[in-house]
Amino acid sequence: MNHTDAKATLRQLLDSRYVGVLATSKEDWPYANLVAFAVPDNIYEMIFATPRQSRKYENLAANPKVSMLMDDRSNNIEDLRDAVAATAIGTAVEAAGSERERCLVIYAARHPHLDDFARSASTAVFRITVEKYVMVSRFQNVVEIAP
Amino acid sequence: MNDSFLMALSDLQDHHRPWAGGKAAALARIAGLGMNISPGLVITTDGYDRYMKNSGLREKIFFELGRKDFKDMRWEEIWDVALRIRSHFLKTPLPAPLQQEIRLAVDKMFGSAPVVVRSTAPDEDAAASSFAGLHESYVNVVGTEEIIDRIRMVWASLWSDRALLYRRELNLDVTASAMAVLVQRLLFSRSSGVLFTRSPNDEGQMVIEAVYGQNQGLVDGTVEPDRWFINKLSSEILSHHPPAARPHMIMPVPGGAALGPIDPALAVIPPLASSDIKQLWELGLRLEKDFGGPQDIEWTIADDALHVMQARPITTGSTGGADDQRSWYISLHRSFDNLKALRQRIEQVHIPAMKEAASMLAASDVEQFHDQDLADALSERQVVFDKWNKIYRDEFIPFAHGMRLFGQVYNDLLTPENPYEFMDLLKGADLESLRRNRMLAQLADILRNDPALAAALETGKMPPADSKFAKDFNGLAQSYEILFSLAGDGQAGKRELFRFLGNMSRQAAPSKTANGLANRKSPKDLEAAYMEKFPVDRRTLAAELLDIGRASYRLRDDDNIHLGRIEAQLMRAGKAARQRMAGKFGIDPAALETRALALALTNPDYVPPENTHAPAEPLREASRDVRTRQLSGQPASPGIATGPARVIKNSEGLFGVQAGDVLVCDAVDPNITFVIPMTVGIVERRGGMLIHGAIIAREYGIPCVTGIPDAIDRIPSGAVVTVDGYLGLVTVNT
Repeated sequence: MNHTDAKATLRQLLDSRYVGVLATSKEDWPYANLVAFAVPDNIYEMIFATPRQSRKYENLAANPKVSMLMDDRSNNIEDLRDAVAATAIGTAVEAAGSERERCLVIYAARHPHLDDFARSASTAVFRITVEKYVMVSRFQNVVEIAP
Repeated sequence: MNDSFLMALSDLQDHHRPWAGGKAAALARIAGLGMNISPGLVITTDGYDRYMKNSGLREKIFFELGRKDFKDMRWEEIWDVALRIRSHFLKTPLPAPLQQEIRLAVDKMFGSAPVVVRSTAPDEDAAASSFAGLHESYVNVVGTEEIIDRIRMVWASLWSDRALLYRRELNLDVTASAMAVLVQRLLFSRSSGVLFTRSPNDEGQMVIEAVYGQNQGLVDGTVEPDRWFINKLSSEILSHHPPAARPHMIMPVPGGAALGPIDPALAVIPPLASSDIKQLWELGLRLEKDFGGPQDIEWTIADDALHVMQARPITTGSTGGADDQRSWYISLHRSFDNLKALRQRIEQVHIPAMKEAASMLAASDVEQFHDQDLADALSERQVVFDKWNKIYRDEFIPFAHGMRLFGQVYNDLLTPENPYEFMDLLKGADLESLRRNRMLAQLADILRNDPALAAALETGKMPPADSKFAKDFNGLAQSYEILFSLAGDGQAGKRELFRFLGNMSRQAAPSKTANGLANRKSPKDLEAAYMEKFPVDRRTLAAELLDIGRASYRLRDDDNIHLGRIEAQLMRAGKAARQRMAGKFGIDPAALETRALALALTNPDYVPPENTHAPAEPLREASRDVRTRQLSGQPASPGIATGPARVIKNSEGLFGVQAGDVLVCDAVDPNITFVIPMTVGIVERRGGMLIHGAIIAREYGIPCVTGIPDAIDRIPSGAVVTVDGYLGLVTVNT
């Protein structure tokens, strides 16, 4: 995969996945869970929403550093050859005011059925500023994509 | 499929073909027509699938094939993949229940009778794609356990390099391949042969080829057959072409079949009587009618009856396209005898002739020639180089198969955990390139002990003519002139080499011990273990095989050095011509090829073509926000090393290599391996265990990863990289 292909592959992966694995941490305990995410044209921005009572919200309040794993594995042997996985590494900040509205529009465009959930008063909308993606293809080939 | 995965040939129907394969299905149909076939048992593709699934082999094969896009693999890499897959088969016994079922069926049908174990692949023998000769078969196998072992080896041959290459050629999905196996009672043949129901030259004729004994001798070309042309309509014999003599026949011997002498009384009589020919003619007509087209039929006469061994459609246009490729793939596998002859020619004819050609050319003082003579010398040198380059491709490269042949024999016999263990048994020969590197190391030593001389050379001075350094340096120049051609013109080139030697002298040799070599067995132990696997009366053959493997290993490297010596003389004449051309044209004479140079030298009005060099490839614009972190290739020499990447795009950068660098290059030629002792790791675009870079890396115990297609574009020069020669990974430290 050359460099141009790498970016195209990443974009394709981001556009094809609805859900990723978000990793947060608090007091040295890592914590991973599934979240619905959305990525606008700028791939270095990711949006997700979470209830303010959730453990991940609690973790994010303590430590905004996150990573998010997205992949297209099928849980078959073919994954060794065909699956692509990308890990985004960045910092999550809760969006407020007009920024929250901007994020909600991006999020609703991707997950219209989650619009009510995202707009709920008890839901926090987060924006991750991605420092870099680490993308793995063909089991062992790794590229880093960063602004 | 509802039937068992074990079926008697006599129970097969046409609709079983997808599971039983073309060969078995055709034989069952022939038996149904009332003709003789040898009784047999088919282990269908369902049996193969059960083996694959229950043993975990499917995943292993997928993993081997999935490392890299199959389309991007060079044949050396495919051979490596095939070697590793075969090794998995060798190490993976059939699951016990499967083994038990086959054991019962084999026992019941054959008891202790000798059998033939053959492939019958579903896509084999189809009209459009003939796999004939690509898969293995085993003759004269006795005993249930032995038969089960051979069944596994026939399954393994589905993944041989030849079969893989051929499937790629035909665009078949290799991962979807499956194989059935046919076990048949061995027929002790009086005569055997092939019948083509349509002559390639005349549709109205049939062709019969026949030999005494088993048909393997005819099929692989060892025994020259009698040939008859028959009128297809009347059965009249149009012509009979006996061979020059009939000295040999193939006959069953314990564990196989071998060439043996023919009874002299028989040797004077053709292997077929006219009544046999009539019978074959009838058989041909009948099968052609039933199968609906011309047939290629293997037959044998045993127990006084004509038996059909195999029938398949004659592939239309069998001289074209994929079939030609198939013969090339088959030709990659040279026989032992062929390799022995090739070695003799290379060692006793070609290499002495190359040495002589190089020293004759070296003796002429081309720099002093008149223009016309220099032009003639240039053209002559080009012809000489082209000739040897062709011989290199046609004979030297195929001889590399000696290593492969030895590797397969070694792995089949010893089933080592590491399928490349055999390479440790081959290395250690005194390669030309290692001799050259020792000369360089000795020169560097002189500089290390003589700082004054080192400092003088550093400032551009020449060494005193009568010094040991100057004498040794001249010795190096005479033996390995290509080094000087690579380094540059005249004095400047010498200074480049002095600088390189200075670098060598300042650096302690990199440590070559920490690369996991401690656990490896000594070549002596390996050799003893290998020899012990042969019965005493076969040990001469074992030693010969090892000898061929070693010669192949050594010559693969040395050949290039010899060719390099001739190339150096071509480059030398080119250099002399270019010096005279300088300033003559508005273009750089460096851009002129031999022919243009020769013309320009002798014709004052010559106008060179605009640019005789191929345009440089446009640099791929690297995306600034994407960086390579890790690349996956093939592990080619074990160990782990970290160092700055020295990315070599052409020979110019070679002399700048510093101790501790990781060499990243397109292809390592033995003429440039003088830099290897300075490096801690090697990354190469070309893939495979048998390429020069991998061989030299193992000689020095330097980790090496090969088969990374765009290594020189993806790895930035100077970036610190880690070469993992165990896993075949290159990581760019970020």
